[in-house]
Amino acid sequence: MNPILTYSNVTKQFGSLWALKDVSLTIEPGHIVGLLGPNGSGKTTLLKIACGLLCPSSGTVDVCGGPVGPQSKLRISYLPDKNYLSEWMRVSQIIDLFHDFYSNFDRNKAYEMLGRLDISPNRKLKTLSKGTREKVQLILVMSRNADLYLLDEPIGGVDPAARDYILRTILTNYNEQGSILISTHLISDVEKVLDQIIFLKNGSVALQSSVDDVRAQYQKSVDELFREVFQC
Amino acid sequence: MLGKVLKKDFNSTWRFFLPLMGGYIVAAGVGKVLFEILLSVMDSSGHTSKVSEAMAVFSFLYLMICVVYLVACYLMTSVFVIYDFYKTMVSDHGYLTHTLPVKTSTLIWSKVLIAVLWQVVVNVIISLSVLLIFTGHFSQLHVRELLRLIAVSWEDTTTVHSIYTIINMIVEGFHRPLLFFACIALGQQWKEHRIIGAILAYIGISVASQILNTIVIVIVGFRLYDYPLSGYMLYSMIFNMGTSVAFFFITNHMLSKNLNLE
Repeated sequence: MNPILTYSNVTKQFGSLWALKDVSLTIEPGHIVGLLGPNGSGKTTLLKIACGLLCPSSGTVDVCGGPVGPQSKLRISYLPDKNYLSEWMRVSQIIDLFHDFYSNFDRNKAYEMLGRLDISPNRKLKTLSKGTREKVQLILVMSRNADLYLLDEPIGGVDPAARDYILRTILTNYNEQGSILISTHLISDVEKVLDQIIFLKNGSVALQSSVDDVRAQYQKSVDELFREVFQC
Repeated sequence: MLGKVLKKDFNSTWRFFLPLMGGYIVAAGVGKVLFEILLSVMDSSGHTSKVSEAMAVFSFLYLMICVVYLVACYLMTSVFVIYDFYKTMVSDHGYLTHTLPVKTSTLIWSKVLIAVLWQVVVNVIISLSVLLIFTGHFSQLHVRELLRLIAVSWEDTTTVHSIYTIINMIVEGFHRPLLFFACIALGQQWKEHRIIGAILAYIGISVASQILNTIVIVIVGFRLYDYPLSGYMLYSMIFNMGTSVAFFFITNHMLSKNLNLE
């Protein structure tokens, strides 16, 4: 099976700071992969490079066998860790915008999810709370029938009940032929949904393995292994 | 895809320009009434009351404010075009813009065309408002004679002079936003203080343009005062077209090969 995402010797440097050092890894289709590491380990940089929001200093990234560009952006559904929508827009206008640009966007699915959360499509984003805005962004991302979902800290900064909702939404709405790459440092919350893990430490891949192999080889949960590897 | 991007960019800019232009149209309408009052007071010199004199002073001050508003409209158009580009291309909203399945060159074309559209709208509305204010008084202004004298002073015919002026305005309409976009694209190469980076890029490009301009003039032996104005306008038009193309490629290169969103 052809990999859905391939990083080959990717390096990213910001001035004198090395955010990524010679990262090589592949993501196969049909997996939920946890991109795990402490703050500043390079998780966001890795995801942004795959989305074309950052250009690597060296190395290459392939998405479904092609370079990062308009075609790869159609296949990737990306949830950033910040609010990237214009506050003056109504929820329905944002849905129209996504429907205009992404041929794999399912408008009905989006309205269904909004209805379940009791979010009116006529509300302007600026009138919504921060948490509700994040949910709207998640709904937009998960309403796409994408090949690869890149989710940057989707459960960071929300209460445990909201975390459960977010994880449930991700699991019940993603395209099962595709893959999900979830970046987080809240391991215990996501561990139960992951097939594979990637530990990122100081911009380098410290470990890439299936969750089952981790448990068999180390006799530990991913959370316990994470605490051991990243012990301060 | 360009049509979809244009629609997105139009929707995010009209909310700013509509009130700006609406306010100007209302101000120009009131200005017309006050201008007529001012003229009637001036015509009846020696037979004016204190009230009509006060009204004339008020009308004069109001018309001066209208002129300031007019200049502000021009400036605000450029400021908003810059602000919109910065916000949607290199700050947080860039996360949406640059994850759309669209080529970077298409995104830039859309920004340029929307900038040109609003410049045209602002120019047309301002020209119409000036026409409105002077309606009924053109015979006193001798507009045709004034245009002929300007053209003759530069050894041109009125038609040639007008054509060059219009073409230059169109080229300038593309040139100015592309210059700002290139500066912002260069400025985002800085990890921090990106606005300062853009300002430094603007200063650098302006200095480089002046040097290039001087070199070209020296090389081609262009002696400005030996030519009619249209000759200089033609040169300026070609120079601006050339630099506009360069600015487009700089912006495209920086945002597609060197994008660094925070």
